[in-house]
Amino acid sequence: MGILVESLSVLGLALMIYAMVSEKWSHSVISAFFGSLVLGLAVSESADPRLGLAILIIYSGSLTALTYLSSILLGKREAALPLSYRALGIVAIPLALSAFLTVALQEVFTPGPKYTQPITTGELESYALATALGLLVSLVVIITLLVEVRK
Amino acid sequence: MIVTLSLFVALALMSIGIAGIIVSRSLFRLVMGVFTSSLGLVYLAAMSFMPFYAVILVASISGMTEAVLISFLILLSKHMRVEDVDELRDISG
Repeated sequence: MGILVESLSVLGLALMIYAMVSEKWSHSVISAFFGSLVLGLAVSESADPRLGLAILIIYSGSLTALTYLSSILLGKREAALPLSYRALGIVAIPLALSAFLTVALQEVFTPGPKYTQPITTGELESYALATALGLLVSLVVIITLLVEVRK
Repeated sequence: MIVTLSLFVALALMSIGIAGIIVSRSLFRLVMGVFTSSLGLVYLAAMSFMPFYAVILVASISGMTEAVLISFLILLSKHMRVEDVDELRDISG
């Protein structure tokens, strides 16, 4: 365990502590994003790169995006946001959700040690298919949610 | 087999998350506490050299639970018509 992993772990821990004790929710969400990012990097440096990538996608990407979505979609405050922020959210959140669905569904329903071999073309195709499916589902969810909130 | 610093970081993350759940002043803080403690659990699982499949299973299940909680937060905020997630305190209405 090198000095890089140790410093990344301690930095991630400090960021998560700041996320827990911060008063404003925006600081909290951003700090949680960077904390889980740094912890995922530490795991990927120490244990397995693909494991770190999975933690990074699930925690740093999709869950923080969902939390951010739950915060910006509330009430009339969303109308005061600049247009670029809303466009960013609408683009980023389906992407994050589809990545989350890809990782979660692929890994939950695939028994056995899948990642001991290098990735083949067929696996890449199934990843692409799962990403497209997740993108479709999450787009439907997001559009439904936006229409419901607009009402 | 786990290195001491990893064990410390994982236990600190989990205990901070649980403390955040206990003293949470709003539903958003409760979700943040669940986030932190599940991240600590996944970090512990990854650093203790568990099999890859087991770690991914833990991460996926805790991530899905978290996603369901956040979706519940969104729906409840819409239902209660609050403008800030930190205002979501009294769920009895």
